[in-house]
Amino acid sequence: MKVALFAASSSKVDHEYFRVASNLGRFFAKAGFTAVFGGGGIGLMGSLADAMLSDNGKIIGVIPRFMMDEGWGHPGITEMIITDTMSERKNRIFELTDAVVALPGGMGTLEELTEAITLKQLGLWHGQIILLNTKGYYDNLCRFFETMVNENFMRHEHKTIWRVADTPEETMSLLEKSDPKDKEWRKIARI
Amino acid sequence: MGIVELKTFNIMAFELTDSNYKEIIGKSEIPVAVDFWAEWCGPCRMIAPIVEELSRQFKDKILVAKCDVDDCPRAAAEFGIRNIPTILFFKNGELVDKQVGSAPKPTLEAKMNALL
Repeated sequence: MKVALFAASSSKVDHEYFRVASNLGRFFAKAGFTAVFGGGGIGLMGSLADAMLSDNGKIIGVIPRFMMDEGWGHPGITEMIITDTMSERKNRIFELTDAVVALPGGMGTLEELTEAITLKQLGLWHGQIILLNTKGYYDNLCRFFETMVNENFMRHEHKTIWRVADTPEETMSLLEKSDPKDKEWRKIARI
Repeated sequence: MGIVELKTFNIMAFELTDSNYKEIIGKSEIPVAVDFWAEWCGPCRMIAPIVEELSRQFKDKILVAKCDVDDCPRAAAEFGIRNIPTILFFKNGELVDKQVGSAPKPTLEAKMNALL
């Protein structure tokens, strides 16, 4: 199974985030999952990739050309897909993957996560979306999503488009299954 | 096609539909394992080769069937399928065990052996 990983590129975040990202990478390698990620070599993405590579895990990097030219690509990734634009990069990632895990991250992670949610809401992509809520990082975002629902910017049912996991173990448990209703979101895409 | 003929034709991972599932599960002379899946479901695709292997391994002892939830919604609803993959294990037409979510081969193999 191929799982997209969205995560911080920042190297300055708390050590706990790195520890959890590495753990998840090890779980992925053990489960035989293929990770698909943005191809960067630093931050939580780099840490997760390193953990997977050291356990002989499979990783596909999808990176825009300008980032490769800047030397930002992970040097150890054997399968690197180079795209012309950031949009193409996202499209390729969604084409390739069966599920998404968003680890803590900044604006890029948030943008990728919300695109996944939107695509699923519109019935254009059907995979599991999991927020790995290390140190409660996504608590405020989840509260904001609740506000969206409470104020009718989203349907109540849309809350099951994503799931929140507190640990890598819980993430793996959620990744083991899909919801049959995930094919039917387009029927209620309109609010 | 009756169950005896199924065994003779050496069909692996028999395809269930909304029109045949009751008969297949209810009248099978041997235990039945039904894999509820969907083409778009990543974890389902992950265990598909394992299910196929087990259908060969337990040939003539357990009937392994697949049910695409998009094509047989009635069967999925009757058995309350909330997550996929779900494998239901039947003996003499009665549900005796289930596996929700993907699982490694030894786990599924143990459940198959428990049916015998």
